[in-house]
Amino acid sequence: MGGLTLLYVEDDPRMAEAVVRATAEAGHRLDWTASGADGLARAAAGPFDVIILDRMLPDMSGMEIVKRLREAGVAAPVLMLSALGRAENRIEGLDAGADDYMAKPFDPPELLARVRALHRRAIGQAHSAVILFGDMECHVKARTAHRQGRHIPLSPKEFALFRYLMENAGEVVTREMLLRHVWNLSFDPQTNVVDVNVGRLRRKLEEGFEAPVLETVWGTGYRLVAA
Amino acid sequence: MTETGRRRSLVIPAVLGTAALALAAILILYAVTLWVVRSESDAALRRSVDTEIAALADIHATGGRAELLARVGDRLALRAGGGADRSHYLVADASGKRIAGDIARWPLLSAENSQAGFTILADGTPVYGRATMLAPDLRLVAAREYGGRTRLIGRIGLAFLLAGIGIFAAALALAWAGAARLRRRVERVNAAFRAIEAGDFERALPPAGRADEIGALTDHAGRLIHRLGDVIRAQRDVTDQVAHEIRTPLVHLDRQLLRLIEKGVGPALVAALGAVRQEARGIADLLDSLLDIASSEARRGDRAGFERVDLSEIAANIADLYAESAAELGIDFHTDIAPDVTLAGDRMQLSRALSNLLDNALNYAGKGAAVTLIVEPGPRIIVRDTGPGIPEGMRERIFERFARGPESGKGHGLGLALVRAIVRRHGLEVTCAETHPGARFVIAPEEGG
Repeated sequence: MGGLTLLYVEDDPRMAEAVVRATAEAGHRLDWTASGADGLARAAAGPFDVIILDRMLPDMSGMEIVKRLREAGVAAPVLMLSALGRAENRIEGLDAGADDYMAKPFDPPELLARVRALHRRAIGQAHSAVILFGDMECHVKARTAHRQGRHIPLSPKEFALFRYLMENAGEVVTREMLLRHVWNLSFDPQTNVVDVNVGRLRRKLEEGFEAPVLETVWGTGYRLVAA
Repeated sequence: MTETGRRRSLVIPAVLGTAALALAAILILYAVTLWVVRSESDAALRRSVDTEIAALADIHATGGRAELLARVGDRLALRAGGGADRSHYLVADASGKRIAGDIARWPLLSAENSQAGFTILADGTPVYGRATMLAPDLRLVAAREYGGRTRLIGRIGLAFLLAGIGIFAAALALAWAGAARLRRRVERVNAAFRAIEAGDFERALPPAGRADEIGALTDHAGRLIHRLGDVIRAQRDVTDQVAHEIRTPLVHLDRQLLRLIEKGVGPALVAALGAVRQEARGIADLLDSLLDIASSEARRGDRAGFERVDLSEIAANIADLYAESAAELGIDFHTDIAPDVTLAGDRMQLSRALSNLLDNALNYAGKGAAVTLIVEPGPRIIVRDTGPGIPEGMRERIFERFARGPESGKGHGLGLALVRAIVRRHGLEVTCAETHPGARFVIAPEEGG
């Protein structure tokens, strides 16, 4: 997937700077505006692959912008960002018409992953039946994992974890992303349950092989690397 | 809503009551009328027969037997022209044998006692008649048909039947319309309250329009709903503002830490900075937990946003998430989850409650202990451990905010408070009991709820 054209509406310049940098590094083109009205006008004018909206803007709320965009027939997927991160707030954002909702603070890899996922969904592109990365294979239909052609027996949840890592291979995935996609949970359990589960998968993927493939990105999450 | 379906409407008893009353009134009126008409016409019949007997007795007394026979003949001849209720006569000797008149046989009336009454003539004609003895060998019967009276009573009956049907139908229609109007007005108030239960405070209750008792009730309910809506909106606004103002600096702090990490300061510092980020996020989580507890407590019994969720699936999912951690902690973790246990609720909140409960058990049970998660129909969720247990005096307090176990250092002390707030919002209650050894947390429907 090449670089995407993104629109970003955010009044906080420090926040914006971080997102601008992260998206640029990922090779996307990003239009940033601090004004809700301007954002609405730009969104209505140009085609964007994904629109990223802050929920609380001084002149117009992100919720209002989504509603108006949807009324105007703009179908581009919308990712809403907000300092309000409780389940209730998420539901409000999604009800307003946003396609995804992310609480601040977040890790840039998670933002990028969600933008990619939204775009994939919008253009109806699904992952192939077999995902290949490095010396690993993920057979989505058969629900099996292989490394160097050797079958690695995984439990259903371990396979889901492996598959999600493979879908985002080479990218950092955060604990939040894993909880959301593998366990369908949008809250963070206090203890290190995710790390423990990833640790177990790592043992299965790495035991009996030379090179490590699942690395911990300190303070952020995990990344599958090619051996 | 099914609730409305099961409830009996106030329209039905009101309509049935009115209809029964109308029916009873009509029947009583009919009975009285019948009685009056019957007694009046009987009296008239009696009078006319008695007058006739008296007149004929007079004729006999003044004109003798021949005159009597002539006059009876005249009367029968005159009568031949017809008329509704014909008169009949019989002049007979002592043995009852006919001398004159149109009655063939002496009727069942005693001439000696001058008896009067209803009887049936030999030809089958029903009459009212009187017999009398004019002379030792001369008897007289005068009788009159009463077909007109029977027809009158029939007509009255028919009139009452038709009028009764009309009145009954009118009463039924009026009662139905009145009760239905009443129900519509009460139903508007009910609908407004149901909307609140579904979380819709925006739909204001329109004014009642009429200044009666239901109007007053509607206005009261409308004002109450309006105020409740204001309070809830205000609470939500304040909550959102507080969350936003506290989280924003945390977001900046997080961003700066992340930039430091990205600059590639040695692995030891990266780990330390990662830990600081976790701490900072912990503050945001603490705030969210507090707000979630407050929100869940405020929405106790409010079923907005609930859908049918599979508790068995939720429990299995959370158990799966924690199984590996339990093994790592040296805890013997088991589940006993009955299939297809469902309830109306919020999947994420229930997941969180279960996660907190398991988290608590795994943290406090200790190495070597057993922890069991049980889900039963009811629904009933039990988390049992064989750890040190919870002292009796603490068993209520652990569900309060910032309460901590005796030898704990971790967590905000909000986990179990959130469990309680969430299960209560679902109409459930969580309790803690001793099991010898260990603790046993039970989530079950509230008593009487």
